Amino acid sequence: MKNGSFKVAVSIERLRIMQALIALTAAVVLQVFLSAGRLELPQKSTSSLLSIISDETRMVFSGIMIKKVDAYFHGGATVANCTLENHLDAHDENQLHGEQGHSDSHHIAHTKKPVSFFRPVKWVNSRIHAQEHRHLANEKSVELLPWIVAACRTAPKNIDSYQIGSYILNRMIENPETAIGFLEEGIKNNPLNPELEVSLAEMYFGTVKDVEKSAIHFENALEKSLALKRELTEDDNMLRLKIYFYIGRIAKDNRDFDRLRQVLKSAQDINRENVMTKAIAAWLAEE
Amino acid sequence: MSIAILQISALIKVSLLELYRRKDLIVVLILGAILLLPIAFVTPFGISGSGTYFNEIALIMVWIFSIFIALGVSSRIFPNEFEKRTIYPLLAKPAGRGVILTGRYLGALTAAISALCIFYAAYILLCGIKQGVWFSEVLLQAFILHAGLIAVMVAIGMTGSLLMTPSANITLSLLVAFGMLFFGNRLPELAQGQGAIAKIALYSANALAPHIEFFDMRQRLVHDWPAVSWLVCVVVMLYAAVYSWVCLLIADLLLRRKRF
Repeated sequence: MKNGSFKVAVSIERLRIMQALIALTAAVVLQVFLSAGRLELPQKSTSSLLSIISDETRMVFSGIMIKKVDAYFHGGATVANCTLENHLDAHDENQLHGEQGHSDSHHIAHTKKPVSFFRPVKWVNSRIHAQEHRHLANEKSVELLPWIVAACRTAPKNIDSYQIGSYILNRMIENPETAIGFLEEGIKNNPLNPELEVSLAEMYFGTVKDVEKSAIHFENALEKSLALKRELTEDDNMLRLKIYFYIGRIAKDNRDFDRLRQVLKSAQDINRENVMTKAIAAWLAEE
Repeated sequence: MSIAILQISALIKVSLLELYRRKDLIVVLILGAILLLPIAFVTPFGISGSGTYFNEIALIMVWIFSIFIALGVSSRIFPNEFEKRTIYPLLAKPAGRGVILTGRYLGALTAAISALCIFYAAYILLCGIKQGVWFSEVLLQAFILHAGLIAVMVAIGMTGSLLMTPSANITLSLLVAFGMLFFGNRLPELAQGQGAIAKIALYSANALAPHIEFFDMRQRLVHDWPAVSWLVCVVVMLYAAVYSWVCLLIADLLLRRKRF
């Protein structure tokens, strides 16, 4: 009797292990399909609790993949690998490089190995896990793309992944056509977001040198920025100023001074002292 | 002495046969192939040339599967012996408890390392075909340190099997292994910001728990970092040997006190 119940318990345990394995396999296979772009789950905002949890989970995973891109760019080195005392100072709360992330002191901290043999755990870790500061060469930046694609497919609402991906494609791989296509996909998935419109407009302006298309996308971006219903943050204001700056620049080149005046007034309403506002004022003063 | 060696080699052979008879290895190899083959041919944006992601995912799988196999093999040996009562004929003279423990440990270790060899062979084959790199010094170091990790995991699994049921043992060992893998090198920093009790717990974990992160050469291997000094490898392997030996001493003590 005792032996029989033991066998039942073993069978149940095996069944649970099989269930866990099947669930794990299904999750990874689904992820593979998402990464390969064969299956795109819709990500619409609904009031369903399940949908909100699903969206948030996908954003978290997408964020992890973007961190992976940062780690790949630095030769796999992450904050977790680093045994230097002052490393965290150079990183923001997301463990990515902050504004001062690539200062000289940060580089020097990476190249020194101050860990003594008499602190054995740190000593071994500092040698096993590479910590030297290294950046991926442009010709190898194709290694970053799978994680970018995976991040976008996992959470199409993750704006950062489209911006980082388009930067890599445009600046590092020097493939602006693909970068534009990628940003257009991002705009399609995030039709109300002005940031991706700005990125696309900047790419047309700076790389492709197609001012006409650039102007269209800056106007689209302004429209989307003005339509924002939330309380504007400092970042939103800076983005709007940037849009005014570029629209002003294009208006200046086209000698459209009425538009330039309108843009200056709108920019001054946001921040009179900003360098971009002053630049627009200077263009108008030149005429 | 020679009889003990014969007994130990017989036990090793039995453990090896046991692993291959159970087909665990075939299952994880098929699972690995199912998961890896579709992602091997991903070309994001139609731009080919990326292989690091594949290298990393393949190595993660090698790590996960090898730890599962090591714990699976080591944690089932004694409970099975007790359940099937095969421990009695084994304990009959001249095989002592020390010989049985050593034989069973070496058997489980040989089985787990043989599985590791198969995993690495598959990994080298896949990465060689995809990236054209077949061998490097870092790869050799990664394999040696990984074998050291397996020695520690088998010792932990075997010691735990004399204290807990196999499922509890595997769960706890996995928690310790992955916890130390992810947080092992940051325990002192994490301890600094904690209260007194948590601080003691974290410092104790730093001193007593196995530093699995010592054996983790994935970053160097995946991102083409140079090999580490062989002195570091020797230090890590010594750590693995001492840790395994301490675990086996505890297991020996438990086995000697065990009432059947």
